[in-house]
Amino acid sequence: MKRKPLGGYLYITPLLIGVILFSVYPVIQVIWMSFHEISLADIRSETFIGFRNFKDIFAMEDPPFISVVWVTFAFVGGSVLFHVGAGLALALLLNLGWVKGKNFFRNLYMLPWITAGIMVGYTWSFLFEPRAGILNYLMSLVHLPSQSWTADPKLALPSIIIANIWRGVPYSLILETAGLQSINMELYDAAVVDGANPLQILTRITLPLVKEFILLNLILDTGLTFQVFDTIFAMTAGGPLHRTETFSIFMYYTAFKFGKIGMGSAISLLLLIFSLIIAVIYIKFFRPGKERYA
Amino acid sequence: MIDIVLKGVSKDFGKYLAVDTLDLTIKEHDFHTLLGPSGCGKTTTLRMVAGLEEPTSGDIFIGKHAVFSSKNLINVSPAKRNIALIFQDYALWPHMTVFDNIKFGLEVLHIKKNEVKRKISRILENVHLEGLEKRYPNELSGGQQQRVSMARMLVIEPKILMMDEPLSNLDAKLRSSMRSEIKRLHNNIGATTIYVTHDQEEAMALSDMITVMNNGKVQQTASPLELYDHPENIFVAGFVGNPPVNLLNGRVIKQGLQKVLINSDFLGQINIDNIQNVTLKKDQSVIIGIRPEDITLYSSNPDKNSAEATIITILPTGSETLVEIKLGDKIISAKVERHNSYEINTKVYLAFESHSIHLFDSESGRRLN
Repeated sequence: MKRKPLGGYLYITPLLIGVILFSVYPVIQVIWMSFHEISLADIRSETFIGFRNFKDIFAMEDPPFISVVWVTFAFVGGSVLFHVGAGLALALLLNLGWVKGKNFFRNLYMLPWITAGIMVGYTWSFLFEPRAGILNYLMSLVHLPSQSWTADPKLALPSIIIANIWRGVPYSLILETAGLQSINMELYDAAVVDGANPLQILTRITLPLVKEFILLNLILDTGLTFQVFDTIFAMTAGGPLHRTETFSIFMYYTAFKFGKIGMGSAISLLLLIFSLIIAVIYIKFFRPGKERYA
Repeated sequence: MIDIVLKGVSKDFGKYLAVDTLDLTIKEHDFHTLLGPSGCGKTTTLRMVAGLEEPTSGDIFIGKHAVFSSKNLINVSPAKRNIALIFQDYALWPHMTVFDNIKFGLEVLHIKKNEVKRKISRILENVHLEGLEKRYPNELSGGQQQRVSMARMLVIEPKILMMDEPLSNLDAKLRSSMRSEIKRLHNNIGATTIYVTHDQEEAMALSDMITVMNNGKVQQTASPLELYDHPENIFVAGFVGNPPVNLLNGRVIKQGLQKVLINSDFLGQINIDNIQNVTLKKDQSVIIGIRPEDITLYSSNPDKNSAEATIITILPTGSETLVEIKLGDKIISAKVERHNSYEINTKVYLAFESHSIHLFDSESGRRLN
């Protein structure tokens, strides 16, 4: 029996319009702009220049493109590793039967995530402040020398990574908690009756069962971390010496400070491609098996 | 003897008392069923014996050894109680193949590799799952999953088998075939089995002994037929038996030596023998229980004392027929032969033997005869 699908299309039209307007169109527009020279000063004039924007990006010396790539990957790698690791560890802890006040802590740990990124940036700037900051005060208590943190070319990148880790852990905590709570308690009981110890239960039962949640967490968090702008901008604005200049900061300067909209679009496109490549690597690495969670 | 003994075991979940000072003895090699409605504490009791739930107070012994004692602070881990458990939802690990699911318990016991292989292939043969080793649980039917969970339970050769409503997720046909398989299995391996169910027919069919529970308390522990023939209170009488027992109100007229004359609603005066050692007051209210199969229907009045009733529904099941009749303002049921000539809205007359009556005190619910 065949039915005309017209009604079906009608029902998804509102959503479809939204997706086209807010996702498909901007992506196509970015791709189109990447191949044109568009200047902020004269935004109406668009000259097709082929791959020149990309060539210029790769050949750039201030900052060198390779530096932007390195800073971005260090920032994303460090953040995501600790987000997922600490999020999972906290989720496991808060999922234990004997832990009291679970809901209180789950709510408390949400605070960093619901705080605006720019606030997080400013707050951590105070903590890292060389003379009045609490971090240097704590260091002095254990007789360690003061550091200039965000102003130090070596410490600036770790500093913004730490701030961003603090902000992003709750997101992983929620996802991993959802994963852990989707596991039927009887699966643990069955393992306990068989005589498995807590470590065996963790490695043989729990982790394999939340594998797909970890994968989802990695993909989403990588995408989100690539886009972090406000926290970095508030703390270092990409400095010192471009040492904290990630793709998003680089793109902002190129497009809006130097007015090269076309080149900025090209940077966005590169960022999108990087995110996609990493997502594919994650999925390959985790190789979702045949099993499904019935 | 490896009996399982529970002494004064209670379990509360905050304000809610799930199991209330329970005393219970489960004899070695018995198929012992905990039967009761949902929320009666039967699963909690099973989980306490397994060690998955810690009692609030009381003692649990397996054989001579206390596995739990609230006074002596003993709590033996589930793994050391030599038990195996089947769960209602099978609790198969979805990320492991059939083979790995069964292997897990053996690996934890550090059994040698070739020994593991041998044991698993033998157990798979036992439960008719040969050739499905590499499948994942979601690729199996409900019945096959059930068999895997059985194989997983049996492969560690436990002394005590525990099953928590293992058949309730299966369809009716599969359920009855698995039922006889479970009974065969129990007889073959000679382990002690504790079985939890809310299905009284399943309990009757499988068990050597049944403990009926309600509101966290034991109502009666007896063999299936004893339970059916001599329910110790109204709850057990009503819970065991399908269709359920007919219950009618009555009043005591006078008590004689080991017998009593009562006046029953709609049934008139009945003389009941073998009254237990209790004193009944005149006019004390009692409840009369009659099983549907103990009622005989006549289309014409056999003697002038028979109660008159009207047929309202006829329900043939094939092997027999159930007739619902209206007696005064009560609807009661009677089992009759499968071939009969009853018709709806016709009058019938009831007869029954007075010794088939179950008499209960309406206040305490206790059995009186």
